[in-house]
Amino acid sequence: MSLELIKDILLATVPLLVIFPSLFAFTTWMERKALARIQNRIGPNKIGIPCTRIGLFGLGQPAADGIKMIFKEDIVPRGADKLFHLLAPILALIPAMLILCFLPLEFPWGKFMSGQVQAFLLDSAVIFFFAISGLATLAIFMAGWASRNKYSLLGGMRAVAQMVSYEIPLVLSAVVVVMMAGSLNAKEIADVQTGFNWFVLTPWGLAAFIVFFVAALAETNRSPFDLPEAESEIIAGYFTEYSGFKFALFFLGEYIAMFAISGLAVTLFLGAGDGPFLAVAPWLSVVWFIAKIFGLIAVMIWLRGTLPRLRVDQLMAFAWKFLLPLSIFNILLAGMSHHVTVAYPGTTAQVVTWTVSLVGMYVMAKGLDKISRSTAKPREYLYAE
Amino acid sequence: MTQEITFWVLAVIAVLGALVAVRRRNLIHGVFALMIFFAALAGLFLLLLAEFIAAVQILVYIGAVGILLLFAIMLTERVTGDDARDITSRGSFWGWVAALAVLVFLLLPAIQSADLPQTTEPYNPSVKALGQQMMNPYVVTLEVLALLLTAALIGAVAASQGGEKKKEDADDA
Amino acid sequence: MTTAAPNYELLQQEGLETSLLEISMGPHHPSTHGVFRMDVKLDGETVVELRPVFGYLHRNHEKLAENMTYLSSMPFTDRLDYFNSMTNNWAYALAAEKLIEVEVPERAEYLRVIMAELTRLVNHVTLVGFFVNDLGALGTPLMYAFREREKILDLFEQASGARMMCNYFRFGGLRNDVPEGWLDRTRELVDRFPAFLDEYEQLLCENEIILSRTQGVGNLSRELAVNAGITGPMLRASGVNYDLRKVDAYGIYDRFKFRVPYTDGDTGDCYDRFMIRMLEMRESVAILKQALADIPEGDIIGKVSKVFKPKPAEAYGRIEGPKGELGFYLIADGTTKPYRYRVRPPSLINLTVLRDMCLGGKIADACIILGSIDIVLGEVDR
Repeated sequence: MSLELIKDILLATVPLLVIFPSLFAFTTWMERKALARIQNRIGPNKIGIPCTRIGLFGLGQPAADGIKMIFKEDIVPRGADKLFHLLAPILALIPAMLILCFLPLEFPWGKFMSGQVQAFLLDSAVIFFFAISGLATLAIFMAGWASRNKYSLLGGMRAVAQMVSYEIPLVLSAVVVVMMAGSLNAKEIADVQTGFNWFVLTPWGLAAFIVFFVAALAETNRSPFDLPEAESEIIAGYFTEYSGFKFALFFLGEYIAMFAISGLAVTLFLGAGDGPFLAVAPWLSVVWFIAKIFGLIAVMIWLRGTLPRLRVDQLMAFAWKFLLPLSIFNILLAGMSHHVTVAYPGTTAQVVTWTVSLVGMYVMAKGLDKISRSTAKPREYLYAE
Repeated sequence: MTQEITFWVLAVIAVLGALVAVRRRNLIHGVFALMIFFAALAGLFLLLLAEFIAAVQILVYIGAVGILLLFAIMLTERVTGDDARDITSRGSFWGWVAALAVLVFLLLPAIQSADLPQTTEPYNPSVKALGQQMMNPYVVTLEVLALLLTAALIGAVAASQGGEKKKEDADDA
Repeated sequence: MTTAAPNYELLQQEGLETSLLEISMGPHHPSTHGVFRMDVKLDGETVVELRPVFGYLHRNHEKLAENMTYLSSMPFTDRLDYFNSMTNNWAYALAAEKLIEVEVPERAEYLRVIMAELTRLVNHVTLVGFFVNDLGALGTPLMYAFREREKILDLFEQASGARMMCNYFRFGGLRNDVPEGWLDRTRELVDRFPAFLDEYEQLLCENEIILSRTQGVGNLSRELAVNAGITGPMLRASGVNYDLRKVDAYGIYDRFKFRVPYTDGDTGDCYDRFMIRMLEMRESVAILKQALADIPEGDIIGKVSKVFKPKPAEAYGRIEGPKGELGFYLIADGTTKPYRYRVRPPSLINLTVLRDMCLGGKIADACIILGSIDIVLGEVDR
């Protein structure tokens, strides 16, 4: 193994290992602060520079939390499967970190590298992305099963059922982009969208993006799909029996998975690193990329602060009866539009296909909503004088 | 050199994973060992530059088959894993005989008679080429397979619907 | 009174053996509202058996009260339903006042109504917050509710010196008059409360997820509700128009114009129970407005000595507490202490139908059904 190769590997992976965990720390602070504001609270505000009274808006909170986590006692239940109990948090983190390597981030130090800029520049990056992110399900099941706790087991079962179900609309909405870009390569998909040709700005892209984002919420167990860790029902779900550093690893894995799936959404729909002023400063592409990721994460935090949780049967019905048919129909629309625009180039065909697609999606969504939605509606009440 | 070391590491992991999967009494441990075997196999595919096959290996075998096995175990009462019942080892002799027979009469002749490519230049099949192959010469096969899977899916739905109907009947009665 | 577990036999048919998961939810669980335990048997996620277990917070309240003078147990009533100490006081005062026959001054009657309705607001607003919290809304509605609750608790503190354990009522009146300016501050709060209610209703009442999570969940039929002795908002949500403020018109409730919201009894589910409480808050505001406008000056307590010996008699005092009919049953034997002292706790009696409402639902439903009953373990266990 040559020195050159080792340098390349380090340049490609170390930034990911540094940037994203630090962003994780910042995100936990951001989430707590944002939730606090939503709830009329102030949120963390005490911990800033140690030994002083400077609060820095509580920016020291993640560091303090981290220190606390590391020094806490690591409790393993007596009945637990010790090996799996240990492996589960690690296995939860590894796929999340791995899929970060598929994101087409163009770091400015790429020009010092001999070969490719990305850690994994694979032709089938999108497939790999879904293949590896599916492994997180196993980690969660492992944790739930190994803890030998009934709440954990329930959480693990819920997680498996939920993540398997929502993976399908997730993949199907990515298929649209793969079809339109004609490639599974993340870099090529990003290149197709340069100059504000973002896929989200097309009707089918918009629909696919919405489906993708909803499914991504479920994949990462975020509210309103946070059933595997539903506090009011099953305590903390699969990580009920975890404490200390193992818990921190789960936490880290969950947030890294959020970054990864938001990163994929940005790559597929939001033009990856595309943005203004790139001609002047090409290094801005990383900034745009991460800013877009944070935009999506801000929406996730917002939803967490506002929405109650779905029930397990409603969750499944939503995936199978609404998202799945909608995404299949969307693929159909996207394919038809593509062929029509290829056959009849010009604005008229474009306008016609866009209108047809938008109307078709709207009608389909309304129809599915009507079929699968519960009959719940506000009621009238009587009054006795 | 690096490639050879990687190959041997992956091969040993694969064989060990397979052995653990077969020998382990604990069902869940067995399933996870099987997944390690699948993962090592995916690594071997990657080593052969067959990245698409590797991805599909992970997606289908670990993501789908493995989870399906876990689902099946979840439905049994052994889900907590504490199972004192012994797996009987009666008839293991014939098992060994069958395995050896497969090795000697099927695999070895197949390997010997196989016509392996002897080129020195790296062979790098692109996913695009694979896709074009699938959509052009093999499109009928693909469609037939898709139809078969759809039929299976509809059959599964029908089977579960039948159960529902029976339930309604029971409710009426 | 028992409901068969729906569809459960089917799972046992045709050799399809699935084992049930037995979970002891509680006494330490985020959504059991205290030290309450539900032993549930789950088939997958469906509840097939549920057994409520309580008594973890038993403090021997009734026996203690039989060994002290009548007035001495007034502070202990605060600790029954610790969210609503004012109404607890009132129910006990009503029972004791029947034994000694004392005239309550006009101003005290008005203040009693004001305190009781403020307590109702505190209880309902917190309940709704906790209920939506059980639905998984991560505390946001709860924090909105607590903001309003704090304002009312401030008023309680100014009047009685304590925020929760007020101990404010006395036989024949109240312990002390409210401080100067208190009525104006209360008027201000009452005037602003409907704006909060508007906001709260806008946020919660038509939320798609709340609607689909709560409607058709935990249905309680009118017959079962009446037979089980359910009272309060839960009974009215099941379609019975029964409010002690109208039926007994205790205190001076007959002087106020207010309406009692109830349902047509078709559903009686968690959404009805939630909505009835939302609507009741508006009526409480209406009562408060009238009471604050009409309150006269005057004495605050009638002539009662601190230790008294009532003639041997029985008395039952009941009020429409925020959670239901709260009653105190006293037997006097001519000494300074009650011979028998008994509490009719609405929390406990409303809890008895928990199993009937939960069977056949999901485990997540069981949590919100418990939340919609509105229990406080201090009152359930006493």
